[in-house]
Amino acid sequence: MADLKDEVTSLIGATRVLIFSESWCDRCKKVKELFESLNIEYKAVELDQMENGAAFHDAVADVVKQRPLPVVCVLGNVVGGLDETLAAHADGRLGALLGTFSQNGPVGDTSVYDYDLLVVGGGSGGLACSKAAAGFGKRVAVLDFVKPSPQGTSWGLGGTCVNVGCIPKKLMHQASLLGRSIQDAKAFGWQVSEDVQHKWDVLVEAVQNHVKSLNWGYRVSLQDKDVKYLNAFGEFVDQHTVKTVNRRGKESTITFGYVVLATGMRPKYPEIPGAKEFGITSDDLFSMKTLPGKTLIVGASYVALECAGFLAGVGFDTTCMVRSILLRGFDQQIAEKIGSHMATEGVRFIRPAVPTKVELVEDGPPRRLRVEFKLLETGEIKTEEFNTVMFAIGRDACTQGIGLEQLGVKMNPKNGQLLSTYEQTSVPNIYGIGDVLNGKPELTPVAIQAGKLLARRLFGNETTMCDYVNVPTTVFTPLEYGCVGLSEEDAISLKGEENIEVYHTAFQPLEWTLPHHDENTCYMKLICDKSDDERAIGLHVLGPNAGEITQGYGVAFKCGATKKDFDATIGIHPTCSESMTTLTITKRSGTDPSTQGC
Amino acid sequence: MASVALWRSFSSRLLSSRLWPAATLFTSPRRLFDVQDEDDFRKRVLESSKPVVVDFHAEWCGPCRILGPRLDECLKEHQGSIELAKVNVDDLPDLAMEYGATSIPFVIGIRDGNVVDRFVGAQEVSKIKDFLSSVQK
Repeated sequence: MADLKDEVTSLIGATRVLIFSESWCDRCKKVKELFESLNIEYKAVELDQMENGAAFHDAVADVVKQRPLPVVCVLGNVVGGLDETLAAHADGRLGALLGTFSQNGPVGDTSVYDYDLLVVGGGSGGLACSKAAAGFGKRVAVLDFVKPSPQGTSWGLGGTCVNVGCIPKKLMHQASLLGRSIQDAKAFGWQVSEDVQHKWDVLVEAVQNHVKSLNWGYRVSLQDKDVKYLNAFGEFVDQHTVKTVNRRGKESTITFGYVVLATGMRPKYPEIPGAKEFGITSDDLFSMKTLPGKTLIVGASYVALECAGFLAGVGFDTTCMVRSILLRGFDQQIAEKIGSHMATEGVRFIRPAVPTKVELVEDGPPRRLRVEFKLLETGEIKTEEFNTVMFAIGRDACTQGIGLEQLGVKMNPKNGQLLSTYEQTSVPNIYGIGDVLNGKPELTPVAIQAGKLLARRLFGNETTMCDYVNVPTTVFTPLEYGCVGLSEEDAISLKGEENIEVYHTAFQPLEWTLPHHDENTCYMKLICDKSDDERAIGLHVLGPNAGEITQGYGVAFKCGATKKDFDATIGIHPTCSESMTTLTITKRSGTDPSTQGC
Repeated sequence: MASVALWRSFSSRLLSSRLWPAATLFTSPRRLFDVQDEDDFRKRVLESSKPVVVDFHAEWCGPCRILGPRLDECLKEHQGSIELAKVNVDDLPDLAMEYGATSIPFVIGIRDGNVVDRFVGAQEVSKIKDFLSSVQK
């Protein structure tokens, strides 16, 4: 027995992350999943698979003073069981133990370097992180450089969101919604002339003017916060040195204590002839001076559907070519409803199909492109002409060819995203935030939050970790989709169908009554965990203003709201959101959730 | 009298002809210029013998487009004794921020190398005229 206790003690002392476990144990499985999600390597001692397992378990219990499994030890410290480990993760003690903070962290005195912190990438994450770090009196520099798209498009400071993402997207989505509102206005008494036209160039100019004013605003704010801005491309020479090249080719060298990679992603092109030469992506669409005309959007991502949605909404003949499912990763019931709605609003879908070639028929303007594609169900090859072909089939992280591989920074081979633990990469003084990270929601507010908290941990003696769970989000397709928590598919696979209760209803916004829009297009559902007091684990709203509706429910999820809490909350009338407080029909009951007619 | 009528018809045709921009070279002294770089700013603004109004602007700025012609019109009354320098903040951001042009349009008056007055936004004509008077002094 004494020998076993010695063995246990030395095992604990020699292992970075050690889990005393039983292979069939559910709580042990959960704690292992936690470490896997954080990219932390662990050693699991499966007591049930050991010959002297029972005796070993006694020894463990004697040494750590805890019997129930799992028992987690980090760097010689006994953290505890599943609950204690989850708590240590949430309040930062786990990260502190693993040495991801500066106080017991990788870089000592940073004053020997040109900058205490170098941020590569001036987007949502990079700007938030750099300004927060400068706020602690640190010497901070931001490198931001946009390599032009294959079509030659480039943009200013601010990253994807400001220039070729959220901001121009939402403005163009609004343009398309306004077009619909103008038509609906007739039912409310407005004497609208039949001949209301949309001018694409007016929209693009207005959107670009706003984007440029934001570029300027960011330059001013960096100056304000004492952050050095360099419009230059950075390549790593070593762990503390970066070579920079500006637009004119002038080279320079910068040394730094810490570096945060916030380089984000860029759209992928398919490997088919003509794609790069004649196709565009979201990088080019929002500043397109020529008319899109008859447009083909290849892809089923939210980028593809949102763009197809607003292009059709402002009057262009729009087709969406989809390889298999819509909105991979999102709730599929809602995804299909979005597709059906888009189809009724005039977006043509070709699915399942993939493009095989893009050829130039005539330069124009208007440009004419011939697209050859394969229908996947029959194998039939067809061709069709379009004025514009846009690819929205995925994005690759901007981590290639800048010297990271040579430094040993580990990445996801599929798309180059960085593997990280509490935003720290496999190289101790190199961190990542935002879209460039693997396995995190690719959203602006997530990058901003991660950036701010990282700066506080590195330089502000704080320990709060970024909480990536239950991040609310919205897809701005013509019919908007807001969600927080799990999709129905994920809820079922995680908890088991018998433990899920899905409350749902169709609804008709009051504003849709006079213009006689369909009563059962809009829909919402609340997914609850019966094994946990009917806790709300997934919320989905498909309807107008879904983003505004969903934000508040994000707070409810943070507070661990249950179905009872939703029911106890009195609704605001007349709104769409109030139906979330009066849900009674369950999917299990089989009752039709449609609303009654007039 | 006939010569006045002739002059009127000549000048109105001149105004509406494509020769007008070139014609201004002969009809009024050139007082407006785009600042090319920091060196240019030093030479033509800070070291100018005449007071210079500096208009910090950008292509994407709506109010700048409203202020521009207004400023130009008001300057006419000073008959070339005040010069107008235009600085595009996207081209010369460091210069712009050095003089405090964070919100635009941002206009300053420089006399003997010093900023003597300033205003922000597409101000009304009366405000602009007061500004120009204080710069002229």
